[in-house]
Amino acid sequence: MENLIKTLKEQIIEALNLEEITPEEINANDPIFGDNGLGLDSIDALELIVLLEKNYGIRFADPSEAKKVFGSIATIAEYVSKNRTK
Amino acid sequence: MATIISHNIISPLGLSSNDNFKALLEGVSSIVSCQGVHEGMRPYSASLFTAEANKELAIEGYSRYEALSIQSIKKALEGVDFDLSSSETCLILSTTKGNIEQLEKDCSINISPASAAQRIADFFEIKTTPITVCNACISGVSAMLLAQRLVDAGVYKNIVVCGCDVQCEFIISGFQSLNAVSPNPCCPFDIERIGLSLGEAVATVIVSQSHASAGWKIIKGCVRNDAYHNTTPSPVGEGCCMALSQLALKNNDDIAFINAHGTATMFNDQMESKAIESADLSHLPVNALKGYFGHTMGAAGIIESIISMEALDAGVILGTKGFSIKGVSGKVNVITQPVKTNKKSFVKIISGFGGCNGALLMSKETHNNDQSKLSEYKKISTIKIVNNRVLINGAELEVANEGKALLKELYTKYIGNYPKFHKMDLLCQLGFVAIQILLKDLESEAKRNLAIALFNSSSSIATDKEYIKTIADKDNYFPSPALFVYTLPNIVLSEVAIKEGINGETTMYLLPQKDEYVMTQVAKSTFADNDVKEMVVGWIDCFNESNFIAELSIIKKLE
Repeated sequence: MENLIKTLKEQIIEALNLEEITPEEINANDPIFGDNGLGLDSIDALELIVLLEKNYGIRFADPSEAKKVFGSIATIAEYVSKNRTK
Repeated sequence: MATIISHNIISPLGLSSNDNFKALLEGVSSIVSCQGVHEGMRPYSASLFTAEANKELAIEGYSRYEALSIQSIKKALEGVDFDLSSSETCLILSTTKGNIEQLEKDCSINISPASAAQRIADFFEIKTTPITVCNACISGVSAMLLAQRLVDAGVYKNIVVCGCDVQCEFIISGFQSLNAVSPNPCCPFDIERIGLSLGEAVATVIVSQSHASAGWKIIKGCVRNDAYHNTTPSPVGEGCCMALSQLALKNNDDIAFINAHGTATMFNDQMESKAIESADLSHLPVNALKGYFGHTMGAAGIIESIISMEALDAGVILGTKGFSIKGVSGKVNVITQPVKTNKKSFVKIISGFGGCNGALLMSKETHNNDQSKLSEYKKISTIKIVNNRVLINGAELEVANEGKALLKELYTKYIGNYPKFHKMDLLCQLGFVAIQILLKDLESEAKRNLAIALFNSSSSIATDKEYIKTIADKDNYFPSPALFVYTLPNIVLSEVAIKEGINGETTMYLLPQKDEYVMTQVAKSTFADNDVKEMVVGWIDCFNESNFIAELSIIKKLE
């Protein structure tokens, strides 16, 4: 899980162009959306869905399902480890 | 006054404005559910020309986009008589992606809408520089508003305004990546709406100077920016309400209806209902036409205005196809079936990516013959940024980097603490730093009403090429929503508007090449909006990371 969290942080930073943030600065349990998060918006959420599909073969039937998963890096990692197909 | 002396619509529903209107009156829709052209692509709904229609409308040596525009303009010109080659005639095109389907075939050709505009102008031997309005979904209304201002100010006597977009995988996959497309025909304002249906069509109006009281007139228009988000409208409909409020409609009892944008996306229709309520216009009937021919993008503002004119000529308000149970919280009276009316004015509203919202008041048989004059202005400050040089008010700024790194250097030095900068494409980064530096000394009140008019020749070509890579490999098919957003060149305007809280008119124009005369006339005409006292205007072109230019000024209206 630790490795997956680290990889996810790196992939998210790259895919969402979070240039001023390092993986170490992201607390895996902190919310990634909202005012205290990483400053992400709805387009970032869609790009995250693409990232998970591309790298882990995860397809959300309904975008609102993704919303629940996108609480923190830790919740994403947990979902990915259970549902990944690649 | 700016009078519409002729018009035409070519859509899958018919080859003339009246044929289209009759189809709508009978409740016909050309939207069908389509399977993706390959496995990676989800089903979608769209109104598309058939293969036979495409063949019939084709013109050898011209692309589908160009041929459709030419066919519609030809039909609109039938029976009207003025000199196309005169210096008093101009061509204004309205499109979001123009020839983009060509890019799917060949990445090396010049697919810029501005070069297509030149070919269309040449076909008709129109000698003045063609202007392409590329302001996302509101392009058609922006184009008609520009025509009204230029005609009323006497810059041109006759303007051909033509809006067109053709659908292709580039556009469909992009809207799908944003979860904006419905697999079934769209349902504007309905509780079950889940997204839009795309559409292809072309619509033309000929706007001429006329002193006759009869005929459809573009009375007034307004564009306002939400300053909220690149793609999501303000939930309270701030910009749309501001644009509506500028039309001073409260005491006008000749307004038959508001023709809404009504895309059938969750956010748009909800926003419009709120805006209409906030503008105190809930008493007016509202309809939306996208259930008939889909979202025709660059054609939308024009096609929907023409249908509204035809409807009032026939004494009816058309129903909203696809609507049955109200699914928006704002107070609006959405019309389902055709209703009789004898009123002769309507309001067209429209909103789009880049935060822009447009409203247009059109009326028949008005006696107001006001002639406006172009406002003069003075330059306050200027900035020029090219690959390796920066000049502020003519003085060279010492810089250490070049290309993309130069933009980052300027961001770090002058702006900073705005992580969104790193997400922007190159055109937006360039416009963002250039305008931010220009605005440093402007007061916040002046910023609120600031207008921005930018011009270029290449549209969003650098990002178009990046986006198309994400859909090129059918086995590795991941259309990027973040990239698709930046394939609209006017997104640079919302990036700046959001950062600075700018609610003024924001418009992106494309020209075949830099043309100071046209840019000056357009800038002057923008001051017809009485709230605009200052504006940012200039040229901003971006081909790749080492070839870009921004040459912008702040100008101030002279009263």
